[in-house]
Amino acid sequence: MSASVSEWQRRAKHTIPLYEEQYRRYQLALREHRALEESTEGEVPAQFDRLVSELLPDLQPASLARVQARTGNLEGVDPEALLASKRRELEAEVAEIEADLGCDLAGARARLEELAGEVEDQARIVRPLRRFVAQAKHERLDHLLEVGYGQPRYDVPWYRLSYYSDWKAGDEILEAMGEVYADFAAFREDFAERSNQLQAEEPLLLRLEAETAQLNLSVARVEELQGQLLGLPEWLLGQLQGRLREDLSTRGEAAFTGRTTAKDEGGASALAWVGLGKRVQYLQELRRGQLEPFGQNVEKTLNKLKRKSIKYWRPKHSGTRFSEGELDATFADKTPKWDKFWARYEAAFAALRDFDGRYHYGRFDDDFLWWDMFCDGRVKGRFSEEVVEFYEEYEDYSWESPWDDDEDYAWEEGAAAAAIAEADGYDEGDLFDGS
Amino acid sequence: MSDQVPVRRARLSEAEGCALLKVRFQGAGYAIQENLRFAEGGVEVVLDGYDPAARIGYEYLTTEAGDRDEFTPEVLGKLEGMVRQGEVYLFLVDELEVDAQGLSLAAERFLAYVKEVQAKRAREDQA
Repeated sequence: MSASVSEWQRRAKHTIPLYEEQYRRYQLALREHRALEESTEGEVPAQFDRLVSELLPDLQPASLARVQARTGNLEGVDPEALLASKRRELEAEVAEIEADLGCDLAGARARLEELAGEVEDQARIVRPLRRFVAQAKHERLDHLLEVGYGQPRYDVPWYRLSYYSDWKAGDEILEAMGEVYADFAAFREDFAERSNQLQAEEPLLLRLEAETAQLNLSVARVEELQGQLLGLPEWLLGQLQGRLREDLSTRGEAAFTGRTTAKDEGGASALAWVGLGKRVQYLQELRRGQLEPFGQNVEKTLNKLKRKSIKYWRPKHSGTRFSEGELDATFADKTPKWDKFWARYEAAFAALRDFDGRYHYGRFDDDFLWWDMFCDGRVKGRFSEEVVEFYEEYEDYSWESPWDDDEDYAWEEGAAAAAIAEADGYDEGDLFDGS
Repeated sequence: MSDQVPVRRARLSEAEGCALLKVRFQGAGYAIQENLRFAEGGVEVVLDGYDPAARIGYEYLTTEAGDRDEFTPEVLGKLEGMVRQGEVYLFLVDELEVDAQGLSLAAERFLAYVKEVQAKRAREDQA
């Protein structure tokens, strides 16, 4: 028995909307997933700042001891020695600059004031000369001076173009000078005098300006160094916090493992920072490993079905026949498989979405699984490589809610469990496979 | 929109310069003929523009037209000698860095000067 094209189209007409519905659902889910991922990611830097500030708020011995105890970092750091060393370094640079200047900062400032007056005096002489020379600027001026235009020695004959070009240029220069000269010879004489004067006076102005610029740089550097000397403790705190940041960024959770608990000072912040990072990590793994491949698969099949549908509407394919096997393979009912996927995905996503920020229940121990804290041990997180490896390493492991014995949390737990049950549609006590 | 044609400030080519000079010389009343053979006083050259009756014309002293070989220093010396003697009036374009306005003004001044010289000579001849 074989089926006709019209049978194929009838079944396609029923199946394509199912795929379209799945694809719409996927797009909505992906949008929500990405929004949660981005907002969680956005919380990480601020939490990191809080953590560093709590671990090392100042340079007190107790603060340094706390950092050493919680993270193993900054061991052997002696703030007083570091401050003294930096102070010596800064003071040496100040002394070196002052030796070069031949005076201290006050002397340098006084010299700058003197220089300002000298520069102004010299500029008063040079400025009008520069203006004059600039006013006389003409592309042919040097040539006119060279060939002796306006002087008896000028010998360019009247029947050559250059004679007239010189004439025109000379007129233009006199016009630019405001017609104050009787002829070019008069201009030439004045120009020579003022040019010579400029050549004689300008170097002094340039030297005074260069000296001022150099002195300004030195004064600015000394002022900067003196500012640094005043702010040395803040500088050192910033340096040590930077070292701590770098170390924590590199080692992550491992920096605290075996050293820190929620009860320790800064412990809750450390758990919140690591927990936020874990939440981002699980969201990324769930999206990349589960949601997106599902959506891509649905989209691919949907497009294929649409293309084939168009193809089989063409008259030349009207006689095509399909075996039952072919039809079943193409139009198999995927609904149970899809439902299973959505149940798994949504249970895992809901655990991450609805986690209410109780990171302080976490632990920095090798046998602690962060995923189980997010889902309270109710969803198998096989989408995550880390979780799978954990299950393999700790075969006899079972999750025990850390908040079960916490009276303060009792009322919250009830509310959270109810919310998760409602969102995921699973019964209390069931273990859901979220892989 | 202005009716005036904008002045071109770019350097002129030899062909453009010759065309402009022809207009200026004709405007002054001369019957300029282009590329005219001139053979006098031991000189034999082709001038860019020349009025044989009025004995006035112009010549581009550049390599662009390929006439550099023709205008040797010796030939040029003889021609300049004739100009100085008032036997002929030749406007010699000895530089290329000139725009239309500059060349036009130079031609006007040259032509005015020639008229002045010719008038002076006429007065001297009469006297």
